[in-house]
Amino acid sequence: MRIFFHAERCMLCQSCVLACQMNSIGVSEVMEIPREEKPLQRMAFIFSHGTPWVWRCQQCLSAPCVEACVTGSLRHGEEGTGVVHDRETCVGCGSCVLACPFDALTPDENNDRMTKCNLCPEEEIPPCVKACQSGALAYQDPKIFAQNKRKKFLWDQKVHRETN
Amino acid sequence: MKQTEEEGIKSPACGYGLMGLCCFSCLLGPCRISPFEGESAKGLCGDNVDLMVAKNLLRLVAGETAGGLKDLSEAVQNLGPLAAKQGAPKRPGKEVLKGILEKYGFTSRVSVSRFAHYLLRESQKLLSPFSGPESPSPLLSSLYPEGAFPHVYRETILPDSLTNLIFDALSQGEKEPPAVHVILRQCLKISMVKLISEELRRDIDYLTDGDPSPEMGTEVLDVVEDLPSEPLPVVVLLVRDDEFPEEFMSRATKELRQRLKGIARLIPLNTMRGLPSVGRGFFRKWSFPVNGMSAVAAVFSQSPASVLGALVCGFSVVSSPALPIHGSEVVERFFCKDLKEKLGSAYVPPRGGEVLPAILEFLGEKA
Repeated sequence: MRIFFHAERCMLCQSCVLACQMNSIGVSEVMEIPREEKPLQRMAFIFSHGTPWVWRCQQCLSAPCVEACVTGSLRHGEEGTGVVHDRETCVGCGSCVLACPFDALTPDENNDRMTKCNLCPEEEIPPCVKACQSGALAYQDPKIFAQNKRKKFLWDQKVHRETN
Repeated sequence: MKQTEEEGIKSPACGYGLMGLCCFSCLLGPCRISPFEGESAKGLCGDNVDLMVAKNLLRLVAGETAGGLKDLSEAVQNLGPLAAKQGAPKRPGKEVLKGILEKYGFTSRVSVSRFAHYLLRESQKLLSPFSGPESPSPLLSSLYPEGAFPHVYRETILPDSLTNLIFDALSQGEKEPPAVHVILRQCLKISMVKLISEELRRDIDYLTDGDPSPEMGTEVLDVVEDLPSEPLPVVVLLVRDDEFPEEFMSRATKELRQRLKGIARLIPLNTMRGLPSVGRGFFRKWSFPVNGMSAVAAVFSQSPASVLGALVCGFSVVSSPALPIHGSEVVERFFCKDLKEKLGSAYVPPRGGEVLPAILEFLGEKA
């Protein structure tokens, strides 16, 4: 499973980022957010040439960070679980940051180690996907995502031919 | 109770909105301030977290109250023919009319047209933007007697004019923003305007339309009269009938009544204009103002004006959804702590998003 982002559906509300931050400090209600705590930065909202983009770990199939990790705390998970980062064994050397082409790993200043999106394995659906009200973030099997894209492309082509 | 709350409440999905950290007042926005950005974070206009949350609350309360004032103005216009003994309005029920007349300090011997004339004159004064700080309007002194609502006079929350506050609140964007506590006091005053306008409009509509639905004040007084002669803890359950279906109110009432058995008496209300009636009823029954008793209002409403209205009446308040104030420590402290000293009542944040544990904690009981 992966998180996919549909930019055309994004409302720019940034609820996904807030949900991720709240999950990183272990709160589920906004009323419980402690004032002084710094959350982990595992995802961010940016603009790329005017298009919104949710920057996060891409869960690469052949991840350079896994190759670069000196302690083995980054590894490929079981089938479908992306790249898993074990915070217990991480020493915060930053080799993964140098290797990652997407700059997806960031330092966890509270604990002197790195952090990244792990797809929240403890949750059935990642909190960022649950928080997105417009369906811009989707938690799907990549094969099904690709299949749906192909279907949509063919459908669009069919409609285009029929109207012309 | 938690399941009832979850099924009844359609909360906004945006965490920033729930905390009041989202501002949409200008075309450069909407701005969002993350709760993790710290005190230096500002919106595009330079407002910090405290100002953003306070101004958001003011905008919400003022916008809602302005709509209610428009309805009141239209109702007041309908009083003209009745006051001039023209037209043939439906005859209001005798008992209900007696209750309304007594509320405003009149005996039942007064003619409807004379009473209408009084209401018309005083309402027009209150709605006029030119009314200034004079001694409290006799109409407001009847609705909010000093014995029952001493804090309203002590803290000068009672408005001189119903419209000036709204004009001031909605025109502030062009001037230097006032201090946060000034904005929050305005929120309280404007919510009082909302309470006054709702109750006045209902009474005027009853006189002019003879609406057969029961007068809220009378119904509430019946409930208050049934209370024992010794004061006891009271929980007022306010579920606005324009926001929730009736079945939600019945379920919430049943569940709360069961849970509060032996702890507190439950008074259900389906409109915020019943709140002052409860306060007046308590004073008549027990000679205690609301803020001198163990009285808490559980407000189920998306409207911050309803929550602040209950605070202004002297009730401590728990609400679902919660007031959008958690984003600012200063604003939260004002409503949760500072108001306790000024009004004798305070806002109680729901525990884990639930209302019942907060109510029980307020009453000194375990959840």
